[in-house]
Amino acid sequence: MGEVIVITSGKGGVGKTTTTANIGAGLVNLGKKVVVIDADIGLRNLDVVLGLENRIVYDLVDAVTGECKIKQALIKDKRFDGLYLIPAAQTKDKDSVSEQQMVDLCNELRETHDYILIDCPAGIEQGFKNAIAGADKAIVVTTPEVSAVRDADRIIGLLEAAEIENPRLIVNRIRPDMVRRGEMMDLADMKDILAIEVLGIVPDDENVVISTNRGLPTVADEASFSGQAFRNIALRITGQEVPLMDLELDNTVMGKIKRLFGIGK
Amino acid sequence: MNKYVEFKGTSNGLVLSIKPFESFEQILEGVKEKLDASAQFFQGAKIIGVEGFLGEEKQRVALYHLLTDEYNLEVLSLDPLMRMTKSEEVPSEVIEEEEEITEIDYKHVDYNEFDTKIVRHTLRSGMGVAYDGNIVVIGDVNPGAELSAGGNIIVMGKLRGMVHAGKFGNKNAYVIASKMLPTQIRITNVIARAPEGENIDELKPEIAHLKSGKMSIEEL
Repeated sequence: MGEVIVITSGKGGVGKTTTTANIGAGLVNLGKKVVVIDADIGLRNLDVVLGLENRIVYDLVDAVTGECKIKQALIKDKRFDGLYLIPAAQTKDKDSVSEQQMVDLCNELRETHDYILIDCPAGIEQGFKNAIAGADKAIVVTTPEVSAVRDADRIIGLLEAAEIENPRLIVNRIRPDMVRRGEMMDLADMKDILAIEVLGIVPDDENVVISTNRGLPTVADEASFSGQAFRNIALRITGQEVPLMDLELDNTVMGKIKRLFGIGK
Repeated sequence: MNKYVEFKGTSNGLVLSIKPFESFEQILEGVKEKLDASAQFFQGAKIIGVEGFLGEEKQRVALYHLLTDEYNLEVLSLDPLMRMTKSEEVPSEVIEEEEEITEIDYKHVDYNEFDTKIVRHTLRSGMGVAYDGNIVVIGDVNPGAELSAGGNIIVMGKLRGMVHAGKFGNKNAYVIASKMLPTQIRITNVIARAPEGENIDELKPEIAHLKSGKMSIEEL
């Protein structure tokens, strides 16, 4: 019996789609069968981030309205064996799917897959309601900005009202140097306001932009610092206890050499 | 035993209690059965009314004749007792009461002895509580959450949102929080902001109230 997890944030542009793609790929690398669903109808992105745009035949709306079988709407990712995508429809709007249809879709998919990840659209309107309708659990993504944290707080309240208990937090794009200088909110500040369990922290990493544009999740890059963060998150989702990363680590080549000789951090 | 008929004694006389029945014959039989069983007890008894549904006028007359002619009872009335009081007397009183309740002078109520709403969870952004009396929050009030009370507001947690105490103009209203960092604080029509840059980690209960028309925040 699979688990349905919605990935949401309230605010746009904090990295929901990138997070969904990376967690999905990360879970597949742990041997799980995963479906990622792009619930952002009208503004589909997840297919681009995963590099599967040119393989779309059927989409989410086709699948829930019975235009095609659900199996036909699943796009297999050849690089990650066991990862499937249901893309959003691009030419329709959020009202073309109902909450009950999403519940039915999730219930059918959970029979055959270990994890169903839903990439939620920004905002708190119908698209959000559809995306959380079938979910058992939620992951709230935020960045260390006051506005993103404020929206995350609102979303947590709405999730609790929808009886999705204990959402977990991913703080994306942390810049340790700025936190150190006191120019950016640190984890403690965010935990203090949001008061939920932290699932993971992801450092700001320009490799993510590069890999996103190439359509290849960072999680596959063994050398990448942010990829390591997503691998840890995937492990925690499967129930393993992995300590939070020490973002203070100097991860440049010089830093690694220094560590090798036992000097520097 | 006939289960449709019962005689109930009251200080003024007997009341004939009638359960829902199928045919009126059952009622007449029941009356006969009861009266025959203890004829002596009913000697000279007085019937003051009927409880329950008796049916048509014809049936009422039949029952009247049975009681007066055959058993020599004194029958004052066979009207339904309950219904009379309900339909004629009560409504006028109710309307008067409603008119009396309407005006509460919220401005001059002693809120220390007034209704209080207790909220037992953290109020996140977008949530709000509005109440005519006092509000007690057991949990935090996050930025983006709003509280407004006719009386006082007490937050047993961190207050970071917007609070409005004494919204009807009660100048004695106050706000208490375990940690006072509100976005904005209002008492009646006086508006204040929390001092900037001050962020202490430990909880320090403080009270905000009006002192000669100005907002004053002091240690509790």
